[in-house]
Amino acid sequence: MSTVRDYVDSRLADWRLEGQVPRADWQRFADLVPLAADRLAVVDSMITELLGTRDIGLAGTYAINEICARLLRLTNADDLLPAVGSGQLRLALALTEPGAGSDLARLQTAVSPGPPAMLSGHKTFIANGTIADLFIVASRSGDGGSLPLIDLHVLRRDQVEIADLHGVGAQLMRLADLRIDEVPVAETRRLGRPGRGFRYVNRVLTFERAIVGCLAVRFARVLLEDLGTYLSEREVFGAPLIEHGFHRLRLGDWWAEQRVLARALDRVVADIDAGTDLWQDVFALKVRASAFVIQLAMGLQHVGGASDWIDGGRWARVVDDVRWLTLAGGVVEVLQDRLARDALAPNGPPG
Amino acid sequence: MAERSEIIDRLTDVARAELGLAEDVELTPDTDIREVAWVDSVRLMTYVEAVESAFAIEFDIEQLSGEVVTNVGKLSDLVAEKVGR
Repeated sequence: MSTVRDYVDSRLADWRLEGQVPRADWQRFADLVPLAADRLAVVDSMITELLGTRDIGLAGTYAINEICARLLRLTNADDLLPAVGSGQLRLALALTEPGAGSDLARLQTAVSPGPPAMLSGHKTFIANGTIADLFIVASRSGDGGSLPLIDLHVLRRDQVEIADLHGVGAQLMRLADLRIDEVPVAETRRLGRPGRGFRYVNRVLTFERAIVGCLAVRFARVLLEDLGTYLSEREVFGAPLIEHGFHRLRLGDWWAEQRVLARALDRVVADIDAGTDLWQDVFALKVRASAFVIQLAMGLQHVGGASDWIDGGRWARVVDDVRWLTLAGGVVEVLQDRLARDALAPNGPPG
Repeated sequence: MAERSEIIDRLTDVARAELGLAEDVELTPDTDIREVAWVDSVRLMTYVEAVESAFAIEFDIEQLSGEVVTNVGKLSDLVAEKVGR
């Protein structure tokens, strides 16, 4: 096995049957892949490589781990990075709560005053929740009134109650529900400065949203390549589908959008690695790219029609696998709202 | 120790950059930032961090409350306390 693709291609079918990448295989994967990368460009490159398998869940479970590793860097928890890099530790980020979404100002997970101080709460839709060794849990810190004062605690797998949200998420990146029931704070590790979790989460959400952009834009390219192949091979009324003007025009339209989004993505990746990113660019990328790849997947399902259904619904599964992209990094509607408000603000949007 | 007016001038610059405060709006000690700019909890924290960066200070968590952050006079007093140390 000379490359990560060679290894992944040899194991992917088994992983799909199991619904996850087994621990031993993840450590082998870590031998081939630069985990806990410090540059988004590296993560984007690896996402592109993994999406060659056509499995966005695989790329997603890798990406979630990288997002969490980024958070460890931001909070100077570098001592954990070697174990993450070697594949010994897999990570999950627990922000979202039932009824609160990712609105940090409405978190209910909190520490009781004690003594002893106890952490309790309920998190849901946690990507990598079924496989993580460590969970980075956001909790309300003190009483800042309208200010979202947040703490981040690292909990071990044996400190939380995990429930697999069957059928939610992608094939190889399932989502989980977490219950945290009076875990002594002294037995957790707090990341960063007290009450300043918002700063770290805000920065890592920028990274996460850009990664959603990577996943969406790079996967869109893969889907378009597959669509081109399909349209060239499938014949209807004596001619390949690509010869029918409707399909060619639609394919051209989709390629145009993918190209524009790819350029925007390259710009965002470079800006984030240089520390010069604008939140409006990241939000816009995430909003448009996630919507586009879902629209594209649905379009492919439509084009595939009965033959896709007969062939096992490959593109129907793709539609299911990409839906979570609109949730990761904050639901799209929240980002749209902020973009609109910013555009309406007295000084207007940049550019 | 920084003059209060100077601090408020710099807070105004931060508010323009972070909260979209209009060019023709000037902050005064009595200003509630929520009445002159679009503010939600996320933007409020971003504003706090921008203020810290602008003055090269770090607030203690115990000092931060919505009331202090949204009232320009109280926030400028807190900044003056930090800068004057």
